[in-house]
Amino acid sequence: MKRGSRRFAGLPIAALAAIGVLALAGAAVPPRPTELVPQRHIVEIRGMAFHPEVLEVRRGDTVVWINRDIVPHTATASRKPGWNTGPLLQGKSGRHVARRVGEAPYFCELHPIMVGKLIVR
Amino acid sequence: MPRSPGYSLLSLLLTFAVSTGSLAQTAAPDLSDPEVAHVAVTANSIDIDLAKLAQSRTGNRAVKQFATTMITDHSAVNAQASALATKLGVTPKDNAVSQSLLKGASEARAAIEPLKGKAFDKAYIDREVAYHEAVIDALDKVLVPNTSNAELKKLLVDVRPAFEAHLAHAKKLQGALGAAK
Repeated sequence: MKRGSRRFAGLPIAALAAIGVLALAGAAVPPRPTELVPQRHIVEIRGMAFHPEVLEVRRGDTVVWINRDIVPHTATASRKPGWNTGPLLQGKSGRHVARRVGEAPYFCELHPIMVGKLIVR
Repeated sequence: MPRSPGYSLLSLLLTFAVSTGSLAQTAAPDLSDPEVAHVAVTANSIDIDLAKLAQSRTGNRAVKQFATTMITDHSAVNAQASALATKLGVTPKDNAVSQSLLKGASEARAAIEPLKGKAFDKAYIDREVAYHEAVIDALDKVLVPNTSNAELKKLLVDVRPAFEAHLAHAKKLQGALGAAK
């Protein structure tokens, strides 16, 4: 009975200690700033143009192109070899994860007069 | 640039207006919505047919890509037009403007078809520049103003930027083909 009571009395202390360790561990790793969490950006394709035409993103961010036009479009890197969403029919979307820092001009393969640019920081 | 028969859709429409006596009231023929739908589908089909000829005949990669885009885009527009006509219960109605367009297209094709190599490419792209200029003009001055149904009118307005992009693309090719001479 006496031993049992001692064991029982010790449990809350152990639990508190564990919580303390966890709290300290949490304090040692500050939450990741929002701006460093990869973001998702939308580029709308409408009226035969990319909106926005120039988009600034961080490395690791995802860019999603959504085609609102009747005719199909692509978002294709101007530099070869490069990324390409392939043809996007009306209402469809394609994505690209920005891996390389710098400027990344792109265009629509089907309508080469349509151009855009990613600026990857 | 010399203009081949059938290059100006608007001039055809105006000719039609004069011949039917409607020019006194308006500078454009008075078309019903089913007739506007027929003209739109016919205009797209004409460009698809010529693009198919160009696809099979050209050795120029950029011209072939342009022709492919014309087939893809004008087919997409026609698919939307057909879907809308079905939804609205409208049956596109043949009319003198559509007939004039087909006659002009037939004459233009007859002038281009015998050509080969760079001469073919140049004639095809020249035709595409003139045709898209005329179609945009006709959209603004004839087809959109004549359309009563709001959804059909919206479709015609929505496709205009695509035709402008085609025109800019064709003009760029026209410049490149001229420079390569």
